[in-house]
Amino acid sequence: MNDKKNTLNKQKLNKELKIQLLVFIVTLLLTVLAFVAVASEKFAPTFIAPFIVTLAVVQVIFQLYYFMHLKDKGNKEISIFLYGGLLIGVLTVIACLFIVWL
Amino acid sequence: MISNTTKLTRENFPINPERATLEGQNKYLGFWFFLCGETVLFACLIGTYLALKNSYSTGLSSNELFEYPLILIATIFLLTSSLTSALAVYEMKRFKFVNMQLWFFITVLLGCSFLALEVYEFIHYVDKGFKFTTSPFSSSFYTLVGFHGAHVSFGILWFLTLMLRNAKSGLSLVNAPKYYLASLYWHFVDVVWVFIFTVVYLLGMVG
Amino acid sequence: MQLARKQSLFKTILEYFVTVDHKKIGLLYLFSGLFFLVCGTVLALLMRIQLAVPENDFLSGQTYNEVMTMHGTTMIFFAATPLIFGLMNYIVPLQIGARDVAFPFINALGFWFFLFGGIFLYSSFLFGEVPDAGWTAYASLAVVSKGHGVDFYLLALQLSGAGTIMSGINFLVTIVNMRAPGMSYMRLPLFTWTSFITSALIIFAFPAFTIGLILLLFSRLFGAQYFNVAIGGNTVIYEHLFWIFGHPEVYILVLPIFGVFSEIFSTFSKKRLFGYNSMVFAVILIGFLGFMVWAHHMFTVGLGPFANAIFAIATMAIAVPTGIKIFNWLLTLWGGSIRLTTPMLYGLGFIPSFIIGGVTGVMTASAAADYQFHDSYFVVAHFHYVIVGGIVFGILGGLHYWWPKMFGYMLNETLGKISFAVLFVGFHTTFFVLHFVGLMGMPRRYFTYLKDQDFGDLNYISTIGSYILVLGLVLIVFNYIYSTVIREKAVNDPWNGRTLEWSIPSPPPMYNFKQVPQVNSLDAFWYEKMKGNSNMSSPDELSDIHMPSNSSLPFFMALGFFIASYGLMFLDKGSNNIAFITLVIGGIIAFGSMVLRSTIEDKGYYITKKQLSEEDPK
Repeated sequence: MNDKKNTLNKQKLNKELKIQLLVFIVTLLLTVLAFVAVASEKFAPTFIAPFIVTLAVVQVIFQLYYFMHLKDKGNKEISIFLYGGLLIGVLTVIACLFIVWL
Repeated sequence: MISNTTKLTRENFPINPERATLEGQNKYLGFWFFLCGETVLFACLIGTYLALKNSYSTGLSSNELFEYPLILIATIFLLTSSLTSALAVYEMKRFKFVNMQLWFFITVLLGCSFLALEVYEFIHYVDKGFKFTTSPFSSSFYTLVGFHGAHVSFGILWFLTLMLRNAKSGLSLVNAPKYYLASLYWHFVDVVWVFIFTVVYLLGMVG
Repeated sequence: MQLARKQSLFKTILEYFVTVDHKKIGLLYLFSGLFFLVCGTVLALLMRIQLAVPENDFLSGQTYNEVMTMHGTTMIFFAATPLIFGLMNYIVPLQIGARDVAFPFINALGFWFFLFGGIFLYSSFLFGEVPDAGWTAYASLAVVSKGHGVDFYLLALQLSGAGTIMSGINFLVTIVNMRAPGMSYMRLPLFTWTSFITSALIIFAFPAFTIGLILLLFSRLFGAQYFNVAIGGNTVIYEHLFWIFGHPEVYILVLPIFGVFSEIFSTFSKKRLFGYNSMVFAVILIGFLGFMVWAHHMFTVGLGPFANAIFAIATMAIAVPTGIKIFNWLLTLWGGSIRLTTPMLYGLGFIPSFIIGGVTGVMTASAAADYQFHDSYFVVAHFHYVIVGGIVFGILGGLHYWWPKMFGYMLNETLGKISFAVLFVGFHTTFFVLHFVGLMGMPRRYFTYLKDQDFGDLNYISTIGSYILVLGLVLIVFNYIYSTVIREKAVNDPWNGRTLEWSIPSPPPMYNFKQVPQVNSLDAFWYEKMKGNSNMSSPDELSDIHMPSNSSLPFFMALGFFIASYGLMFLDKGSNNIAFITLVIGGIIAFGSMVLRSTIEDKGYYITKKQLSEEDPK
């Protein structure tokens, strides 16, 4: 019984490891993609700014869910608080961007 | 749940050692809440930076300043260190203490390289005449990136303290949450850097 | 326990220095909060004396600025906050059936950070350089303010802010993880619910303040240029950061008070709280909206009609959940068998006072009208109605309500009622007239006014009122002392209470609950009483209780940062190295105790089953 649980756990861990490696590669690719997109100077700033911010958000979601294990069970309170924090953070940035007499 | 007196082996070590005790659960949750607060902290710094980004006065602007290849390398160092700390946690869950220490050590090395590049970058900028007090842009740039750098340094110190402190005693359910939280913190610092890289450096190139 | 009673005074004091017990830390918070409340009140009286008659020269302009700044800062950060934290610390673990908070060590650390912050702030009087830029310390004024006054403000609040964040996280984890079996979220007493939301607001609001303070500190100490408008700096950023923190701070303070009064109303009406679910919903909604409205403090900055309109509407929306709460309280009273005890009187006084404060709040929320009200005594009247009529009433009522639980003896009821009456009359006399002074055009924060401005009569009334208010406070403190001397013994459940804290002895033993209680309903203890049980049942057998060991490290850690702050502040006096040495010494103490904390393993100790059964009631 214990052995069975143990092998299951090991399988689970190994599967997780594979996903993490995959996520890491995707993250690197996204970083380089963002960099190349900007460095090529072929795109208009109105396109590039939202594009690279979106790439950053995607990376962060990967980090949160796969490296920081937000996807695991029992993290309901944490998710609520994290999104609360992000919401307030976004509001702060918006305020600093648009309503400071620019 | 495992009682304190049971001897830990590779067989009975729980798959989530960081949350195997009530104390561990408390630390896990509390530290996450702390990170939620840190989110707001960095958002405020990023907001301040964005508001002042074009106020470069007589100093250099972001277009003229940044050293891109250097920053890309630093970014890759930090992203990789995030993976190595995840690998360390993987070894922790398999109850392989030495492997875990090794991966954390590699994480620390990568972190130090990142920090070294950042220090070099700052010195280089100061040489160019871009000082902390040059312009609102320079002040907010150094504050934001410096704050992140301080977090990286703290993370390195934290890893080192943990590794030295527990080098002899090995892995237990008391120190497993501490290692786990340090790696969580490290991932968070990495997440923040992804944003700083995008918002400060890449958008700075766009102008 | 027997030993505890006989030990010397010195030992008792020492015990409080090293304690990690949430009840003792709660008392430390309460008494240091009361101390700072007295300090803040004295400062308020000085201002009222200065303003009693036109063209008074009792205080100079500079002194008035200092007194005003210190009054506001003290009352918000060093009186209201610790008093509320004291109640939360003491009561929340008892209400959820926990033996302690989640992080006893950090709890102690949070307290010492707060206390050293307060001492640091008040030491500015010794140095003769007192903060003088208002409690908001707006950027351009605070940056150019001469001397080290504002540095005292910045570093003191940085210290106490760090402590507040620690306590906030601690309460959150306690409420999430340490609840007794059966205590689901929708069975939490309302005081616990409000403490939970308050703690959530703390961890989101205080980081913004930390950054605001750091930006100011860097500007003052290291010449950072964020706020140098001449070369493109922007002071509006500071206002945003301050109010992103500052507005939730108002709710941080007032939400627990809503909880206190919810407990008081349902206990003394002998009824379940009306609309419990909607109360919880309203608290969450207030907490959420509290973050969406900060710019209503900045209507006159010139953010533009679009931003002003959004924030005006969002602000008015907060009146809805607050209204839900008011009606729920009234309906709790409706048809209840009401006992007019002192805490209940505070509750009944609170409702109309708070409604007046709320209505003037909605008035100022209207952006167009706010151009008239802004920075006038109307606003002063508004927020004193909310803070004194809400928060101070709540704290005093809550203290009277829980006093028997904390100390094991009752407060005198007659004195309590008289002091409430005096306080109530004094409060309204002081602040009601200020509405009109404000509408007549008297600006706040001015140290005097002219003879022909017609502000004299109303200000004189206000000053008389403030004397009555202070008399009320003196009577309350007298009641505390008098009742301590008389020591009218309290039973475990003197008010016929409804929640878990009343099911254990007064004062509670150090481990709170001998056996962790099984919760079967909202108002858990009341439910058991109605079923005819005099005690809570427990799912567990009596067993050894693990306790955290005491530690002096929190004290020394905070002391280290306290000392280092002086060094940091005087670094600009570069001619000698004293400042730098102070900084280093403080740093060594602080980080040294951190290293000690991480190397010494705290195993705690056990209270054995044998000791527990020997302590059975006589």
